[in-house]
Amino acid sequence: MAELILEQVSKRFGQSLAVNNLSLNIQQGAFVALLGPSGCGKTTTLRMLAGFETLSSGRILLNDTCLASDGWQVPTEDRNMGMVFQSYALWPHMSVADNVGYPLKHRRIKGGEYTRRVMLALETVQMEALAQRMPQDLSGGQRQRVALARCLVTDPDVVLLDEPLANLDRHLRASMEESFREFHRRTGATLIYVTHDQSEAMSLADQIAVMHQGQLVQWAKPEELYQTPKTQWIAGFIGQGSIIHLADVVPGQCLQASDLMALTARSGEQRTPVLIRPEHIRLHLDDNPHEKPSLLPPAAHSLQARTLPARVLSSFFRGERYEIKVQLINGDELTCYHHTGLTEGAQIHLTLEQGWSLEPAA
Amino acid sequence: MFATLDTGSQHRWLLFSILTLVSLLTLLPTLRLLLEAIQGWHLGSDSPMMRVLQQSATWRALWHSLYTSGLGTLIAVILGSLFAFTLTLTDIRYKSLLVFSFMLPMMIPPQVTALSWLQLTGPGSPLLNTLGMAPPLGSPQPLYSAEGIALLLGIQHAPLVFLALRTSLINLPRDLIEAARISGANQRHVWLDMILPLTRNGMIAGASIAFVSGLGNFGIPAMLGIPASYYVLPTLIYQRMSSFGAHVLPEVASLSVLIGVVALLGVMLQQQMLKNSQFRLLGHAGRGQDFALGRWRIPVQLLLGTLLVLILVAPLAALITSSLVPALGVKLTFDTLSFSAYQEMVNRQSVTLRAFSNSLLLATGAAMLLMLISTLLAYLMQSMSQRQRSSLISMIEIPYALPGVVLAIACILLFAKPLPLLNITLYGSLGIIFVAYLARFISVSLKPVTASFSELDRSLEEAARIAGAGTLRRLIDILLPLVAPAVFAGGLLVFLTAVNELTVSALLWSAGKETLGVLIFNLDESGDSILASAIAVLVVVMVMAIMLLLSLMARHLPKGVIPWQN
Repeated sequence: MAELILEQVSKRFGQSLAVNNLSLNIQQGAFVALLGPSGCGKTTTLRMLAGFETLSSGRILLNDTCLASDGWQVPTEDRNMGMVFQSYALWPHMSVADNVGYPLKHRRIKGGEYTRRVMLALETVQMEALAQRMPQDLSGGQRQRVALARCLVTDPDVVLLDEPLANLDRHLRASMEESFREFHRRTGATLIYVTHDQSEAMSLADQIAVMHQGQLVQWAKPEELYQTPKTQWIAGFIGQGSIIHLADVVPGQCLQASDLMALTARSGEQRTPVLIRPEHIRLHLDDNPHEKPSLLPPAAHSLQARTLPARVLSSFFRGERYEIKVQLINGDELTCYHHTGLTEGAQIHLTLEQGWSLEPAA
Repeated sequence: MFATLDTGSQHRWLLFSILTLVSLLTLLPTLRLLLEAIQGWHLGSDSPMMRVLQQSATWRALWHSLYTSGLGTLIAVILGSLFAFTLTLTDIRYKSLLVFSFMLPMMIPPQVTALSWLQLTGPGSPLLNTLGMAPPLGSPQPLYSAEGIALLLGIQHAPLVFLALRTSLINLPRDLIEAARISGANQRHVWLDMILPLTRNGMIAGASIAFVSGLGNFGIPAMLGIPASYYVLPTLIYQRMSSFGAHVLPEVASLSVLIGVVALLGVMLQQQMLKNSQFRLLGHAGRGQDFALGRWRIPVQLLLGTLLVLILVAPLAALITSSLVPALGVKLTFDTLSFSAYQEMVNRQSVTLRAFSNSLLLATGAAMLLMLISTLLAYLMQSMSQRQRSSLISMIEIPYALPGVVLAIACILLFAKPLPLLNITLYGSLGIIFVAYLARFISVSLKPVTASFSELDRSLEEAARIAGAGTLRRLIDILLPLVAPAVFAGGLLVFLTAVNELTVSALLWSAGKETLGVLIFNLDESGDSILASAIAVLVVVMVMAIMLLLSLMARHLPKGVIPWQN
C-alpha cells in the first residue's frame, strides 16, 4: 500500500525544538489535517514535507522511496507535490492560464496537450472564463480557485494546504470547504491540510493529527477526537466541555452516569480530570429536595443520590439554546445547555450522564 | 469652546507659516531660473537659449554627460545587482560588514573618491611607488578620461542601485518562490521566471536614480575631466562661470535648464518603463530567501571581497599613503613617514581651518534648522489629504532631485541683487550657501521624520487632545519624544551630506568663504595633492564616525531610515 510515512521526524531551530519526534502513517488518498495552536510545529511539518526545510533527524518516505532524512533530501522541485499557500502565491506577472500552466512546463508538456490540461484544470474550478485575467484582477475566492487549479494540473501524489481559508470571510469559507471536498473526491490525491481552526479540521479531514509544542498529542478520526480526547489539553482545545476532578479513576475510561454519581461522593489523593460535554449534563429544575429533607421516601433518597446540587453562575442566550455555567459544591465549574434561561444564583440539581477520563495536562 | 478655537488658530497659523517658508525655499529658485531662460525669447536666435544651443561646446558637453552617466549607470547596475542579489538572497557570510562597506562609497563625497583614485593610479601614485608597481614617469593618468569618469560614477552610484533592488528583493514574497519550486522549477528557472521579472521595477528605478545622479555629479568629472579638457554639462557651467563671471549668467542659466530637462527626461523614461508592469506583491514578505550557495560560497565570498578591496580599500589606502609621504614621488617607508601634511593643515594654512569652520557652521546650522522645519512640517502633513501630501513632497523633492549646479545657478540669479525690504546681499556671503543647503537638503531631513510619524498611533495624540492640550503642547509633550530619534537621524544625515558638499558651493563660494569640498578641489587643482589627501583622510574618518553613530541609533529608528542597515 502506497503511503506517506513520517518516521521520528524532528526539526531544531537553534536551541528550540520546533518538531519533536513526530511519527505518522498517512494512507494514500487520505484527507489529513494537522491541527494545533500557532507555534505548535504544524507549518514546519508541512514545510518539511514540501522540502522547504531540512530535517534535523528522522525520515520521510513516500511510496517506499525516501524523500528526506537528516542532512539529505529530494529537492522540492522533484517531489511531484502541489501546494496551496495561505497568500495563494499567484505570480503577479503571469496571467491565470500561465500560472496554472507553469508546473506543466517543468514536466516538458507542450503544445496541444499543455493547452488541454490547463483548460481542464480551470474548468474543474470553474475559472475557464477568466483564463486571460491577471491575478490582481481577481477576488479572493477566485484566486484561491486558481491556486487549486495550479495544484491539480499535474496530478500530484500529495497536495499540501497551508491554512488556505485564513484570509477569506466566513461566507466564502463554507463554499471553499466544499471545493476542497470536491477536489479531494475528484483527484484522489493525499491532502495534508494545516489549520489552527478545529471546526475546519473536524468538518474536512478524515484523520486529524493534533500537535502541541512540537509534539503529536493525538492521531485520530474527528469523532474519536471529540469523544475520546487523550489529554486535558486536547479536551480544552476541541469542542465545548468542562473538567471535574475525580478520585480512583484511570485515564482513558468512559464513565456512565451511575459510576460518575458514585465517584463524585468519594474523596481521595489521586484525582484524575474527567471531561463532561455539555450535552451530557441534565438539569432538574422542578423539585427542590432541600425543603423536606426528613420526610423523604426511599425513592426520593435514590434521586438525591443520583443528582448533584449546584448554583447557577451565569446564563447566556446563544440563539438555539441557553449556555449555562454552574458551580458544584466542591467548586468545580460546569458548562451545560438548557432550552430556557435561568436566574443567576439559583440553586438547582443536575445529573451527569457520561464522562471521559483524561491524562492530566502536561 | 474657547480651547477649540485657540487650538484651531494655532494650527492654522503654524500651517500657513511653514508652508510659506517651504514653498519659498523650494519653488522660488527654480521659478527664477525658468524666468531667466524664458526672458530672452523675444530676441529670437539672439536669445541666450538659442545662442547656447548653437554652440558646438554645448552639444559636445551634453554628449559627454550622456556618455559618462550612461556608462556609469551600466557599471553601477552590474555592481549594485551583484551585491544586492548575493547579499539579500544567498547564505553568504559577513552580510552586515559587506553591506556597510558597499554603502560607504555613496557616503564619501565625490571629490574625495576622485582624489583617492587619482592617488591610486598613474605614475605619481605614492602607493604604487611604495609598492614598486608605478608605471614609468610620463605615462598618462588613465583616469583623466571619459571612461575614468564613468568608472568612478559607477562606483559612487552602485549603492543607489543596490538599495532600490534590495528593497524590492526584501519585499519579494517568499511564497511566490516556493510556489515555483513546488511546481518543479529548479534554481535557474526560479531566477529567470520569477526573481528577475518580479524585481525588474526595482532595477529600473535604481538605474534611473543612478543615471540622474550621474548627470548632476560635479566632483568626479571636475577632478578627472577638467585636466583633460573633457567637459560635461555641470563642469561646462563651472568653467564658464569661473572664466567669464556673472555676465554669462543668462547663458549658464540656459545650460542649467538644459541639464534639468535631460534629468527630467530620464525620470519620465523610467516612469514610462514602469507603467506597463505595475503590480502589488501580495503574500508574506520581509525575509529574504536563502539560496544555498554550497560549494560556490567561498568563490563568491572571495569575489565580493576582492571587489570591495578594489573599489574601497585600495583607493583609501592610496589616500592614506599620499597623506603620509613628505613629497610626491617619495616612497613611503618608516624613514620617510611624515605627518607634516597634518601639521601644516593645523599650523600654517589658515584657509584649512577656515574651510573646516565654514563647513561645520553651514552643516550644523542647516541640520538644526531643518530638524525644526521638518518636525513641524511632518506633523502638519499628518492632517493633510493624500493628494496634498504627495504634491507637497514632490515640491520638496525638486531642489534635491535637480543637479546641484542648477540649484546653484538659480540661487545666484535669485540673490545676486540685494533682498527687497531687508537690503542685504546674500551673494558673496555664506548666507547664499546656507539658503541653498536648506532648499537642497530639506527632503533628506524630512523623510525619516514622516516615516516615524506614520508609525505612530493617531490615538496617542487624540488622547492628549481630549486631555486639553493645544497643537504645540501636543507636539512637544507627546509626539516629539516619540519621533526624536528619527528627527536626530535626519539631522545627522543632513550634516553628513552638507559638510562634504561640493557641487553647490563650488559655484557659490567666494574668497574667505570656502567650504571643505571646495578646499579639497582647489588644493588638488593647484597640485598640492598631499595636503588635499590629508584633509580627505579626515573627511573619511568623519564620515565613518557619523555612519557608525547612526548605526548605533538604528534600534530606535523606523525601518529604512538608515540605508546601510538591514
